[in-house]
Amino acid sequence: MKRFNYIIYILIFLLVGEITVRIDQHFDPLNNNPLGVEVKLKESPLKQKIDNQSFIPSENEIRVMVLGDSYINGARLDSASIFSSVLNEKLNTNFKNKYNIKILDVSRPSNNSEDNYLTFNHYYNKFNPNFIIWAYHFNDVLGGVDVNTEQSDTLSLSVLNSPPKRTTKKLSTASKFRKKLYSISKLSSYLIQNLQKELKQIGITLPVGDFYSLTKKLYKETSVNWKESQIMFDEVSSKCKDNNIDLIVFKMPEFNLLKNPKLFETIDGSLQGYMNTNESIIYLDGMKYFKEEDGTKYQISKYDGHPNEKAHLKIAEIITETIHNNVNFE
Amino acid sequence: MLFNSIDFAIFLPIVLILYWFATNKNLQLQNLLIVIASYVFYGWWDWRFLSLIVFSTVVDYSVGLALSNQTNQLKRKYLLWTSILVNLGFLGFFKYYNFFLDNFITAFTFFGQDINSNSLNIILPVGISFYTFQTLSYTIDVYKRRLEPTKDIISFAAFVAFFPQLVAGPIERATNLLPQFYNKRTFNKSKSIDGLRQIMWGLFKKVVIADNCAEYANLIFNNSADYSGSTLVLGALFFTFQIYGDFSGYSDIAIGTARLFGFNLMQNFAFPYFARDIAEFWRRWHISLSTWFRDYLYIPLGGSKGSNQKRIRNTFIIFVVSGFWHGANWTFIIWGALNALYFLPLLLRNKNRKNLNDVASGRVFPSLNEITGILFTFGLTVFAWIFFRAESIHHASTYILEIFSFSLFSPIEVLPFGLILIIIAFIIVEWFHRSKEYGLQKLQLNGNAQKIADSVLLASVFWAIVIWNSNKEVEFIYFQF
Repeated sequence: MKRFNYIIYILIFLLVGEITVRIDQHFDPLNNNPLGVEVKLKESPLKQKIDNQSFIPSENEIRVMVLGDSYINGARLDSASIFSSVLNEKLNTNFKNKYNIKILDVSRPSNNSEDNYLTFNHYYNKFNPNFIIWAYHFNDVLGGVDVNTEQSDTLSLSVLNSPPKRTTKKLSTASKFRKKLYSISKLSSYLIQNLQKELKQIGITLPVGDFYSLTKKLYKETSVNWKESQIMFDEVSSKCKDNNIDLIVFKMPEFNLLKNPKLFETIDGSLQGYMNTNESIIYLDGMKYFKEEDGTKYQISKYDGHPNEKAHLKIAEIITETIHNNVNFE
Repeated sequence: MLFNSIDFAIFLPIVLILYWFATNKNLQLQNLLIVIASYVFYGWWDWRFLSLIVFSTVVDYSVGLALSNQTNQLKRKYLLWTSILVNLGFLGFFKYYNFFLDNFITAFTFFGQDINSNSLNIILPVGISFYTFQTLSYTIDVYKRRLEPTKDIISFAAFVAFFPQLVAGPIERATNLLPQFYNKRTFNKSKSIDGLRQIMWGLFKKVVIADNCAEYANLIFNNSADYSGSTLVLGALFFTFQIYGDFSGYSDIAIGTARLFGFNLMQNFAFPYFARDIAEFWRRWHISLSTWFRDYLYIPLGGSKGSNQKRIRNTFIIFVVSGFWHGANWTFIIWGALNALYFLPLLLRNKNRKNLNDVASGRVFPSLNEITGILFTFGLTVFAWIFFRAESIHHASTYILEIFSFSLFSPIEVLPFGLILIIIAFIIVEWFHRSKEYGLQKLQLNGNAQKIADSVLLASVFWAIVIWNSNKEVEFIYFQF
């Protein structure tokens, strides 16, 4: 009888938990769940001119194109504090009276490598940048990367303005089980996700989910995702070289995990290894600039790897210096 | 370390296991473990300030022993004043030096004299306002021969530094806590379960109620010039629940933790927002501090005996000093004085001891009189809290003026429905437990239905803590005291 009572109590405990999680996800009574961000390209007078094909590059200009995802896009930050705005300000100060500065920020939240590649192909001819800042985020290999170089050049603007489509991947049995469990029990997905978040803070990864795949599998030499990413880097860097564009790839750190660089060892090794073979790319490992720092200064919150305004400022300073050192035209 | 932190979640089980398994057989070892654990707990904040606690412990232990051997009344007084000066000297320096210096300079500037001086960058040691009062109660009680001085330095050090209540109370009396260190504690399952329940309730009050209210209270108070009077009222209400959840939550965690070690600490909050008048409120809010001031300041001054002038004087002294204890800012003094003004009409009409029982005792619903009393007292308290929270008197004044303007009738600009519903549910739970020690204490349960109801309540509180915590390790308000 006592054992039966314990079973009832455990069931009550789990049921109440399930109900509470569902109430939280459905109603968000305490505004704890992060707000969604719009997945679209930023509009600006410059971009509109380019889209209308009325933009004509002039000689006394430094034109910079920014590619990347929400990390460099500055989702939810004040527009004056985001990377592209600060970079514009810094370059204007740096090259005062010498060059006009034009920054085309075509980063977009949730972009992966394929999205950045397609965006590059759409805009590089029209904008003719001197510099491309590709803010690379380690999860850019995700999302069903599928390179089709023949189609990419003719891709329409409407595709770039709509949320990216992701190809579905084949799931392992364990992943299928997990997906089924999460669909039945919101409590289980909540607990595992939050456990993951807490364990990441102390440098531990559970062998489930995207973060584990990214840090342990997807950057290995045998990974199809990584191979295809390298193909895209090759193509983009080749086009940049042909058109006299300096391609700067800045690897964005996870700002809430700065004190756990070991989590990203495989990723860092693979990226550095590839960049060492491609002399056309100016590679900046963002981790090197932030690793001695107190991460709380640059993060939005303990569980969010996005950079805050201070981080955007620091990245803009790094890129300004790089551009300054690489300006080699009259 | 904060109670609502991973550090404490690791620290506590380790200490408990050592306490009940490694040192269980030996009283001295149990007490020594408490001393070491308490010093580690306190040193986690800043190890440098451990020296203050150790010094205070040694001074008061020595004074206690000296008092027991001293019959000369004058010398006994000197010994007592040594303890008072050391303890209040530390408190005065660390907490009030810059306040007095700044006001001194302001006064001279007012008369046209400029004084150059440097404020010291003094860090306030956590909990200094609490442990100094605790040790003072020991020397005063020994002086008054209410307590025999202890010859056991370990027990005394454990009493002074006892980590569950070291940094934010309850301020324990030596007559209650010290004797508990003389007897070996044995594990009691039901006491431990009760302790765990109280810890859980304290965590709920802190991380769900207080920290979530804090977000809105801070938003509104820090931008009060941008909000309507109606929103400012809501801001004051959020702060009212923030300070209650924060402070009483800490006390619950402290008392529950102490219970896990076999100790009984005094109740510090007895559902004060259900008080029917301000006198009852002060019998239910921060009980350990108010009784400390009553016994060691108010009664020696004459208490409520004597002429009305004396009663008024004593009341003002006690409330203003209590306000000043909370912080080195004129706003705390105004808060204290305001409470004195609230209290005096009841005292002078001898109605301050009218409501001694629990509200709606033996009933579910309060009477109309009781509801009126509760709401009126609550309103007075909320008004006073504005001064407590405001940055300055000017800030409090502009805040209040805006409330009592036409914008009081404007729509509220910040309205978190979810949080308000959770607060209402919290009030209901506290109401049904108002005759108990804390809001989650086990009710007398008969039948399976009530047991299931208790399980549902416990599970709800647990999951609320896990899911609806504000996700930040926010310090307790009273740590600044």
